[in-house]
Amino acid sequence: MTWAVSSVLATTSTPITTAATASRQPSSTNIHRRKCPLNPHILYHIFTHRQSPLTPADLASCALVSREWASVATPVLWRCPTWTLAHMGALETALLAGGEHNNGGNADGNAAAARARGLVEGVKSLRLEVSFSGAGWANFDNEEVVWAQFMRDMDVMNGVLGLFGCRLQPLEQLTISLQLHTGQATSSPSQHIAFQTHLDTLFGHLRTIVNPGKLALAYNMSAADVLGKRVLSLPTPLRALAIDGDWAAESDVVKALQDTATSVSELEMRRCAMSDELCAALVRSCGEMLQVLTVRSRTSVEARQRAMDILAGCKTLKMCTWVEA
Amino acid sequence: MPVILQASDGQQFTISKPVAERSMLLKNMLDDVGENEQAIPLPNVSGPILAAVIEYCEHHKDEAMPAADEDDKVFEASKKKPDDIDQWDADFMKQGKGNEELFEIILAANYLDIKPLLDLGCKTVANMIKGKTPEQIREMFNIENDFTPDEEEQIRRENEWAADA
Repeated sequence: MTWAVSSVLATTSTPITTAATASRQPSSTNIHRRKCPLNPHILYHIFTHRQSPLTPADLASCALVSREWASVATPVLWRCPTWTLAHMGALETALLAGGEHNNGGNADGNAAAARARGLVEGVKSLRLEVSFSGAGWANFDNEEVVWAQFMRDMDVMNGVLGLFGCRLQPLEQLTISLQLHTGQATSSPSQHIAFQTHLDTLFGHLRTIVNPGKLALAYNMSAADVLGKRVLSLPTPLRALAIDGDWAAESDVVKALQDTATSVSELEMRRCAMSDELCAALVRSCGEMLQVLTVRSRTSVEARQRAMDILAGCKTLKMCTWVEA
Repeated sequence: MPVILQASDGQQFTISKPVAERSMLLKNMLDDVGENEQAIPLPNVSGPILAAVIEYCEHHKDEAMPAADEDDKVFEASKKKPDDIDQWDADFMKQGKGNEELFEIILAANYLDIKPLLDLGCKTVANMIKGKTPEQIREMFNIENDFTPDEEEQIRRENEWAADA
C-alpha cells in the first residue's frame, strides 16, 4: 500500500517554486484575474489577526488560493495542527511518502522529502488523537478487521512522529490522546503484544521529540493500564493530563492518578465518580504543582464540599471548574 | 502649517499637520525635512484612495498614537480595544468600497505606515475570508489561480486534516 501511494506522490510532487506554468492554459475563470497585490507581510497579518482568528479550515482554503497565499498560509496552518487517525492516512501520502520511502535519490522524491521536512519543521505545537472502538461501542464492523486497521494506523502515527525526530528543534508542546474501547475479540495475547510494541515505539518518540515537561496526555480507563508504567518511565512528568474515567471503579482511577498525574499542572477528569477517596488521591498525587483543574462529573451537594477540599489541599491551584457530565 | 500631498494622478490634498502625522512615513519626513510649502509626491497612492485615507486620518487625528517601535507591539496595542470593529471604522470600510479598493487602502496604509488603518484593513479581509472556499476567495478578490493541477492536489492532500479540524 505504501509503495503504491509513494509512487503516486512521486509523479505529483513538483516543488512549488520550480513548477513550470508556461505550458498551463489559464482556466476560463482566470481570464480577468491577476496576481494578488498584497505582499507576504500583509498576508501574514491577515492570516494571524488576533481579533479575527481564522480556523484551520479557513487557512487551508487560503493555502489553495494561489502560490503566494500558499507560501504564507501553510506555515501558519502547520504551526499548531491537530491530527486524528482519520488524517494519518492522508499524512502518510503527504509526508511519509516523501520523507521515508523516496531515499532512492530521484529529484521528485528529494523535493517531496524536502517539502515534508519543511512542513514538519514549522510545527510548534501538535495534538495527535488516536482511538479504537471494538464491537458493542457503536462499531458494527468485524472487530478483528477494525483492530488490524487500528494497528496499521498506529504504525502510521509512529511513522509521522518519526519524522519529528529529524527536526532541528523539539516540539514546544505535544498532546497525545489515546482512547480505547476494547471489545470481545480484541483481547488476545498476540494482539496485546502487537499493541505493546507500537506503544513502546510511541513512547520512544515521546522521549525525544518534545521539549522536557511539555508533553500532555489524554486517555480513558481502558488505556490506563498500558500507559501507566510507560508514563512513569518518562524522564520528566507530564505537563497536562486528561483522564476519561468511563465511570470505572474508584481504585482504578486512583491508581491511574498515582501513575500518571504526578506533578501535572493541568488536570481534567471526565466521567470519574469523584468520591472522597478519589479527591484525596488527587491531592496526594498532584497537590504540589496543580494549577488548573477541570472536573466533568456528577454535580451534587457533596461535590461542592469535595471541590472545597481539593482547593484547600492544592495550594498552587489557580482555577477549578466542576461541571455536570 | 498645512501639508500638501500629491497623489499618483496629480490630485493635490491640503491637510493639517496632526492629520498628516497619523502616517509614520509623513511624520518622519516632516520631522526630517521641516515645514515646506512644496507638495509631497505619493506616487504609490491614487487620488481616490488618498482621499479615503485622509478621511480616516481626519477622523482619528485626536487619538493617541500607537507605540511606534515594533510591529508586534502595535498589534498588541490594538488588541486592547474591544473585540469588534469600531462602528465608524466598520462604516468607513463598507462605504462604496469594492474589494479592489479595500486592497488599495491596505497597500496605501502599509506604504504610508498607518498601522491602525493597516490593522483595520487586514481584519476586514480576515472577516471576509471566514467560511469561504478557495474559489470564493479568488472570486471575491479577483485573484488568479497560478497553481498547476498537481500542485493544487498536493496542497489539498497535505492540508486535508485541517478541513474538519
